[in-house]
Amino acid sequence: MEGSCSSDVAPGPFRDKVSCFLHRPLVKVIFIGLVIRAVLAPLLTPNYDMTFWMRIMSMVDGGLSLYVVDGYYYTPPWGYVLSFLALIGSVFGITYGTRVPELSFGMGGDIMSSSDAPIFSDIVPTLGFVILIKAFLVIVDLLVAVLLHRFVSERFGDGKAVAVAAAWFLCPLVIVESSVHGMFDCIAALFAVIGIGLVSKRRYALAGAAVSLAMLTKLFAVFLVPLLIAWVLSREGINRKGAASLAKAIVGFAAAFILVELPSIMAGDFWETVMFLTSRASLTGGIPAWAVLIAAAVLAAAIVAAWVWCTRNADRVRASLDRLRTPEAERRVVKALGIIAVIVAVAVLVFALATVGWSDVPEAVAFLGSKALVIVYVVCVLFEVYLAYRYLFRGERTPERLAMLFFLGAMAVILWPPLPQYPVFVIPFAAVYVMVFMPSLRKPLFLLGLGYALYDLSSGGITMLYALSEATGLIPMDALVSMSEVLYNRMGDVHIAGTITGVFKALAYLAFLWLMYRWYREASGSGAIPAVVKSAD
Amino acid sequence: MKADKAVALLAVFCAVMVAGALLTDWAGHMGLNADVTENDDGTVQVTMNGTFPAGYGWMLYTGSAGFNHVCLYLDYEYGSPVGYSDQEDLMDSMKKYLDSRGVSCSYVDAGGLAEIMSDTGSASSTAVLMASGALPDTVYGEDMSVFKTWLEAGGTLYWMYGFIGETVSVRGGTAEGGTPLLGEGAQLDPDEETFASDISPWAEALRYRNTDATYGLSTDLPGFTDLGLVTESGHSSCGAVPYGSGSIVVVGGSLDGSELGQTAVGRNLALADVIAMGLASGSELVDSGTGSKGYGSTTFTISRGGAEALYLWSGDYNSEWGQRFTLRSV
Repeated sequence: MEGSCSSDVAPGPFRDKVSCFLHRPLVKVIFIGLVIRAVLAPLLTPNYDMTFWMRIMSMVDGGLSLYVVDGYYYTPPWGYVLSFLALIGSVFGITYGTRVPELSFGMGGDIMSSSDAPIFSDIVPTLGFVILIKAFLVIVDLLVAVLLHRFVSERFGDGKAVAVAAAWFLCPLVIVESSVHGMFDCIAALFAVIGIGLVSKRRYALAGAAVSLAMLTKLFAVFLVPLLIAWVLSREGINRKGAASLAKAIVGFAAAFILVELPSIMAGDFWETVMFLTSRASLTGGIPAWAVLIAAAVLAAAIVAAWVWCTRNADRVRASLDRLRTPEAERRVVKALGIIAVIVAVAVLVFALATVGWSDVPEAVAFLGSKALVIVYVVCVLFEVYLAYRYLFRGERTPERLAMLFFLGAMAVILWPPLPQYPVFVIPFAAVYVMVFMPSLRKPLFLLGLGYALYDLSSGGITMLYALSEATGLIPMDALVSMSEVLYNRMGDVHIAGTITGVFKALAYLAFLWLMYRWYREASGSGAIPAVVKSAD
Repeated sequence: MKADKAVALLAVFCAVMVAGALLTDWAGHMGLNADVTENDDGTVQVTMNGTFPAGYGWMLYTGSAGFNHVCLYLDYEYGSPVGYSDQEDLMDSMKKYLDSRGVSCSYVDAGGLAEIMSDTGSASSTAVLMASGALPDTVYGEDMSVFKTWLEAGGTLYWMYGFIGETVSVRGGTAEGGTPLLGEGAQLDPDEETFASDISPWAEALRYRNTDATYGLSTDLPGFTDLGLVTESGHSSCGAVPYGSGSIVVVGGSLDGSELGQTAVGRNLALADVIAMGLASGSELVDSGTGSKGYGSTTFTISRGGAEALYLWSGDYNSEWGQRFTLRSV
């Protein structure tokens, strides 16, 4: 590789180095990915989330902090990034948006009565603003690609590392989310990848901080926590050293959490900052603040009590841990997790009926439906706990098995709610597992990315051309508004745009199911399934 | 992956977020404010103070009330066709918005509303915002005089959702068969679907973008003032009519799902401007304009042109801050 580089150009060490750099496969992947992003970024921008980012930066400019008035619904990290970008934007004199009166008539009223209607704003972002936001997210994409490459090349060689980086950086979904949608899920993925890299280097306190930042950016990293704990314990042992390592991670996690939330805590806005997380879990208004505080206190007390008990009964603990390695123990673990799932489901049911009332069954069913996500999340976390148990106590602790478990664990993100940007968090884990250990799943993985990318593009619809139209006049705004009026209204009982999006949503889910089916078939054939999920007895 | 590179990357990202956090915190303490000086030549000199670049706008107008106090009606014990959580979300938002516009406001329940409306002496300096869809029997029961007298004495009612007076709430429920205050056809029936086809100068200046005119006032009503967008059926998504010396402002649309809807947020922010400005029936826009300031303060001069009040606002997207200035009589 090195030799072929130097023969292509004129002599000279610097030119040799440049040539070698440009001929590296990773650089080619990055170049192709950047070119695609550079083309898409100014062309397509859905006029929805960008308007939120505009609003938030406008609030900061106007002297309002993130949670003083309505408008910012996420946890603080993305707001801090937007504030930083507002500063950068002001340095370069970037204006945020232009009001387009033609769009005023598409807002509110009948069109807004459909949740699929994307005309949310008559302010269209300027190209400068669009580039400002997207450039930051593209840099994040790039950093994830480089980190993944480093992580894999140290263990499995440059060829597989390039393949993993390409599976991330050239994934259609990752491209669309950063360079079209302007969504920040890639930041959560970046923190998660940093966290895993730091765990692999035994930098547990910093790893805890990175995972905390990942969770504060988007909640999804919570699904990986049981596996990360199992990974730490498998490396350090289930003993004082392992507990000390976990303690470091917890301290790092808590420190990062408190630091990020400190401004909000001091301003009395803490519960506003976690509103998005609780609303995603359908908990808004359901669980009062005091209940969460009591639960946290009980959890902390339980951890301390368990620590004290374990240190005083070390022999009994060791014997119990040994027993966990038996098939009989696994059956008990599965049964216990099942019972917990049932208890949670029943508790949610009782809560729903108690809240709405026993007499109004249809309303209670509707309310229960809105709380069903709690059940889905709890079942997912229990599944992750089971995977962690399997890794720690049953079967081999190989890199392939660990990669597969992270792949399965991350896939829980896709279950619900079905928004197209969420699988971005899954891609790094899927890329490592598929490209290093299961290359036969390359096509299904690509289809997953393509399916969700098309789903996202279909959601944006005609609004994606507004920014380009307003900036260049290449496409008349009147024509776009007319097309919007046709697409976003009902034709009889059929909502046209909603139907198109629904079709792509279904295709994306099919791609997900296809990937999981292919994985099951391949893993069953290679004997990996019994080692991972099925009982090993 | 080398741990030091991951650590460095983590550190860089933390630095970005710390910078952003400091900026938001600093911006919160270095927020906008304005100084207004009236010149003898009929011009007004405005100085906008603020650390960072920001968009701003101004409106000169006549025919408004400068409210000393705004009452936000919310009573969980009185029946309502609107969900209490929706009402609460709206009122909490409006309180924040009005606070950031320097308007004194507080919550009132049905009993408190009766006390406020019984004080006709201060009716012209008090506004009431209601989104309950029903008037409590403490002011609009069999004897509707408390409510009507307060309006006639100069009170201003900002109303959202429902035909005013058709539903009367009592403790623990609602009573059917109330008397619609404005008569048949004055407000747009929710069963009638129409699209906005015209935008008023006020809506342009206010950035009022809500096209939903459900329950909105008919533009044919005597003394009607259009503050919103008008539908093909001739109803406005925000409009005002006189009632005695007072005024009724009706905002169209429902409250459902308003907590995350960008349109609802924009509507509510514009409504906060409407209330902070004291707009009502007879309010006329004299002139308006927008601009953007760089770092630090900026000063500009505008001709008042017979206006009685000046309203300054800032924000590139919606108006996030506002302040009303009463101009001296000429």
